[in-house]
Amino acid sequence: MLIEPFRVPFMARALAELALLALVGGPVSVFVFVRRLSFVADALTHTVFPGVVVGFLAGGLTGVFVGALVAGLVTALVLTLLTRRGALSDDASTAVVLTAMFALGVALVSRRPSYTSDLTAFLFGRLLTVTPGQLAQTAVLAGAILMLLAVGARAFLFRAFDPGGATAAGFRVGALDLWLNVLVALVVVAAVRAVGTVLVIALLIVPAAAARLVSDRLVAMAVLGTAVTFAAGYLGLLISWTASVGHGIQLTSASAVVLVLVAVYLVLLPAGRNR
Amino acid sequence: MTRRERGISALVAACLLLLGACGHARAATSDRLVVVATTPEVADFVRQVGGDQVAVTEIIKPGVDPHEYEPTPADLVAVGAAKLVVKNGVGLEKWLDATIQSAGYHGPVVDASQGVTLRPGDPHIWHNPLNAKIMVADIEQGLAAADPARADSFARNEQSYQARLDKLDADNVAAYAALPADRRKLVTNHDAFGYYVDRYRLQFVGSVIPSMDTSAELSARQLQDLVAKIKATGTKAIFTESSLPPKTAETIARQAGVKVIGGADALYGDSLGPDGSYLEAEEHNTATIVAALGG
Amino acid sequence: MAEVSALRISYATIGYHHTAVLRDVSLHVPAGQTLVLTGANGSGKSTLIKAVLGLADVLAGSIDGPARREIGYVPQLDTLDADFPVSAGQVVLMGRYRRIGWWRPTGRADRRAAAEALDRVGLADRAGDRFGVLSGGQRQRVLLARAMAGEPRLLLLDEPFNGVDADSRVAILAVLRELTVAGTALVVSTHDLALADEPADRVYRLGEP
Repeated sequence: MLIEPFRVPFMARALAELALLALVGGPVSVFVFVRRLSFVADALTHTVFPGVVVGFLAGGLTGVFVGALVAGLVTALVLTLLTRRGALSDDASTAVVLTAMFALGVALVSRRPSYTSDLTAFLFGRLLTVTPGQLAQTAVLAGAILMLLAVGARAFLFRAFDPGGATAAGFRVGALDLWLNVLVALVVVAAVRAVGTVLVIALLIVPAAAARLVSDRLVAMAVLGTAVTFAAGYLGLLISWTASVGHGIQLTSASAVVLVLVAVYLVLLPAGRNR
Repeated sequence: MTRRERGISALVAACLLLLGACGHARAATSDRLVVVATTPEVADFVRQVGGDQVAVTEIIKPGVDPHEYEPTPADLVAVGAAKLVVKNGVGLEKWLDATIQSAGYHGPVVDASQGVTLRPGDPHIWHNPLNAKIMVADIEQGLAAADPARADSFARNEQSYQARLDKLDADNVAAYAALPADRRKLVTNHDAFGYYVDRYRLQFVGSVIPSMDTSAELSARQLQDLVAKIKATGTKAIFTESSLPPKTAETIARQAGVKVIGGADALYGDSLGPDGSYLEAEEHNTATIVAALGG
Repeated sequence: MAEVSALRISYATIGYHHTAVLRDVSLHVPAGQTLVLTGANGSGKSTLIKAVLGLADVLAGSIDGPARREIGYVPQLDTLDADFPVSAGQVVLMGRYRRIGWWRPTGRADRRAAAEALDRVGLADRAGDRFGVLSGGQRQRVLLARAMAGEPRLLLLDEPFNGVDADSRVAILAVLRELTVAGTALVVSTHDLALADEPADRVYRLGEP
């Protein structure tokens, strides 16, 4: 009963995709949390949109992935530069970049007489139609993200906790910030196909926030974040399946996953008051 | 594991148990030919030709926009279990290929638009009854190939339905013959009636959504142009559609000083009525248009 | 006896981006001695320390000191986030990173040096506690242990007695004394003249600009 739906290939693939996203989302969300990058992460989900449009116009569906990647990396770079010397406050410059990029995407898209459901797919994801090839791509990207994260983790941690001390110790704070922003952008790109740019922000914020309610140790937070995300993926898919196959109620899988994730956070909220 | 971590695992397990207790997949047991049809129109055609020999699962329900659709788990299961998939074609169901691939369906796909003379980029072929006749013929061929034992039955059903389509066309021709030529001007919600306009030689003044799918919007300039055109041509009414929100149409009608036909009288542009009958929907369209433009 | 010089600043003008904050600074700290930097808030004490660390610009003159790897730094306590999910032990371990580089994993020697440093400031039993739950004085001692873990030749402390209770102050002064006996040079900044006398071998006063 709890396993049955996942014997069906497309459900198994959807769960595998979410498992990969949970694997990278847990640790990366912890760094987004301690660096207070939630707004930057949200900005990145908006700025991949013009990349998606340009990629689609240039190269169809495969172009979308590349377009999102380029847009994400460019944003990471621009945001890092803008906030480097505290030239503008983080929030203000971030807001400027995100609205400019999103408006650019809208302007590009509206030049076409009709824009298609392919683009809606990238706003809201197509979790159930992930192909084996796309799953492999996500796996490779997830592997790269985890490796880059592992190598930089200690430096990120020091910089997050004590930027002055980190600089004094010889760490290049600007380079580290760029590196972390790039990793967040990569997670957005990896997750875009499954849950869409609108919902991917949940994967970057809620896991660490929920884990922090329960633990104050970084590694535990990362592991819990991954576990919570995977559980939400499993339950969300199960709910979506049961609603659709058992009762004829339409409920998109991606939104079910995100709703479960938020529900887990709300359930844990009382536990966090004592920390 | 800390106590909190154990508590959470217990909570997750409890939720899973609760879910497991409710709902289970409906098993399909019947020896009828299992067909999946994408839109209400082709679904109706399949039912008419197949009769009680087919079990049809319709993916797009009446009133749902077929241009943008995300398949549900139930849809994917149905496609995976089908013996035959029938589609409208002409790029209407952009989501179908990914759906078929994900569901692991390897059987034949009937493209009902085979043999229809197309207007460039316009998938709404069924509004011309003569095209509907071709679609029905294609579907009958597909059904017979998938289930040769029942081919005779399919052929008989097709014949009687083709006669009804002929009657629909004749009735439409008569209805427009009775409408003065200078009144045969159509403004619709989106550009779905191209084939209908061509068949009955109406004048298409414009549409509220300037596109053949539903994801575009009029620019300010285009909106003013449309209002001007409506006034200049003396068009009497704007028609909204059952599967689209009517607000913009209502606004334009107010600005142009003409009636807006909507609500229960809205046209069936992308979809059919709740009873899922093609004939009824087309009859409703013609009656509504002729009444609004004539009166 | 010839003094080994740990830090020598000669006629230095110090500031940020071509704007001078301090002019004509000259001082000298031999190994094993403590220099106390005094002056009112805003007189440039932190800037001077940052210049030694390479975080502020030397616009004229020179600063001669040990290699960056051999300089330890204890920042002001209020620059750190008390909610951060990191333990006291992890904080002290951060002090080893400069020695081993950012990409190599910490080894047994690093963990031992960190444990010893934490022990010397009297907080070995709090290694697993979150940094933020410790008192102000305890946190300051942890930051001192972090700087010590890197085995520096020169230790720079920026207002280390701010917000620190009497017990912790006593503990810190005791550790500083041990360090100087072992040959480490210290630069301690403080705006509180009363505290200045205790550890000082020499005093450098920063006045109004």
